[in-house]
Amino acid sequence: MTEKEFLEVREAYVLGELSASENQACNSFLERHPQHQEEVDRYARLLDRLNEMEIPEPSSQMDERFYAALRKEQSEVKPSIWQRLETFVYQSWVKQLAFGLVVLVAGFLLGKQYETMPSADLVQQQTESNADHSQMLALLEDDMASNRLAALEAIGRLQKADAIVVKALFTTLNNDSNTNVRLAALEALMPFAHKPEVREGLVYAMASQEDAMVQISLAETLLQIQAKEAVPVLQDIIRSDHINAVAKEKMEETVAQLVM
Amino acid sequence: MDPLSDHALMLQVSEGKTETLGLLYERYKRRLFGFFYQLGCDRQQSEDLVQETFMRVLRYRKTYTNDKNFMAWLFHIGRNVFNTHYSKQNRQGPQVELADNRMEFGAAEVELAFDRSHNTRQLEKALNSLTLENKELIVLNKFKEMRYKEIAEVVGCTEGAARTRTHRALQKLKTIFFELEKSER
Repeated sequence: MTEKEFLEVREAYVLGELSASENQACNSFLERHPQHQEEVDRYARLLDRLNEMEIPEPSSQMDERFYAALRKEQSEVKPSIWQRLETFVYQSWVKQLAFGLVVLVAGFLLGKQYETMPSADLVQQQTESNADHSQMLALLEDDMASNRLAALEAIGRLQKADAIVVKALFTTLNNDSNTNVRLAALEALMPFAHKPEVREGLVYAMASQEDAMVQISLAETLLQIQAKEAVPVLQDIIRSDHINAVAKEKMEETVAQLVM
Repeated sequence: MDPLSDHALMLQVSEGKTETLGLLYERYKRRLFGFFYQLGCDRQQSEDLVQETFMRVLRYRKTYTNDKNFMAWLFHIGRNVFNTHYSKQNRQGPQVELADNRMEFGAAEVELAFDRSHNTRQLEKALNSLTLENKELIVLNKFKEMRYKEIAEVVGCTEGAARTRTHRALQKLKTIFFELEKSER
């Protein structure tokens, strides 16, 4: 590498943007030309200082102003007649009828599976004897609700949860056909609610739940973690036509306490 | 597609599920605030510009399409918001003077400013001596940890040009910083 070539890539070298071979060429050049090393060191110190520059935290008023503005914008966006008609048709009797059928079929299948269910001890042994996540995660996808509940119980005893476990818990919370399993998934997530991605996932989950029990428990959780960012989501659900009266009351209460 | 990715959430916002914007706000409010602050705005101005940026995201949500990168799109809007704010200030711009005003903002900040190391203050001075374009490139590259491809989308140039311009901006910063240091000796 010539001096001219080195000067052309010097910034990229200091910024760590070069490939391994280019980096090696620069290192060799610097060994042969130590007079350039001092300049590189000064550059590196400058970049370190850039990284150390302090930025204050924005105030909580910024959040309040944003959510107030978001609520205002939302209240101004009125659905069209067609959208309202669509909501009325698809979110009332058609959806309810489909939901009823799904519950009926799920109940029938669950009943059949209980006849051939392995003993609770076996499930317990399976989950306790091996702390391997993959086994618990596999059990979360088991056809039997009782096995999925056992897996959630085992996960609930974990001190730490990695991204895969958190993702699996949210998949269960958002998609499992059984209400008790979804509630257990929520409970298993609670110890990790301080993590930003879990907090965010809980807000997102609120928007996808239709079961009143899960909605109430989620609202309670969001209140516990003071998730003010959930207010617009809650308000949107409160405004929807098909919400259960008790769940609606709980959500209104939650919103009132979160915006206090 | 990961349903919780920035892109998936913004597509939901663009389809009318505006409550999802809260999640994106939580993810990006600090970075955006830092972007404005590092460009020379004081704390209150930075908060106002974050608010305005997200309101524009909401207003222009339908222009967000599948081929977009959310972070680059957001900072592109933020950049436009900043430019509007900058031109409203009669092209005075938040240069060196603003950095000093920023320190007068509150007692806590004055204290913080005095606590800052000499070198950090020198570096702030050097940064504020750069043109807005150069400063913006350094802020995006160093503080916001953006790749050149994203910087190119934010400032509207090619990836190669973004890389070259950022390197030149850093060279200028280095020259000014070490000149300031030398003049103090």
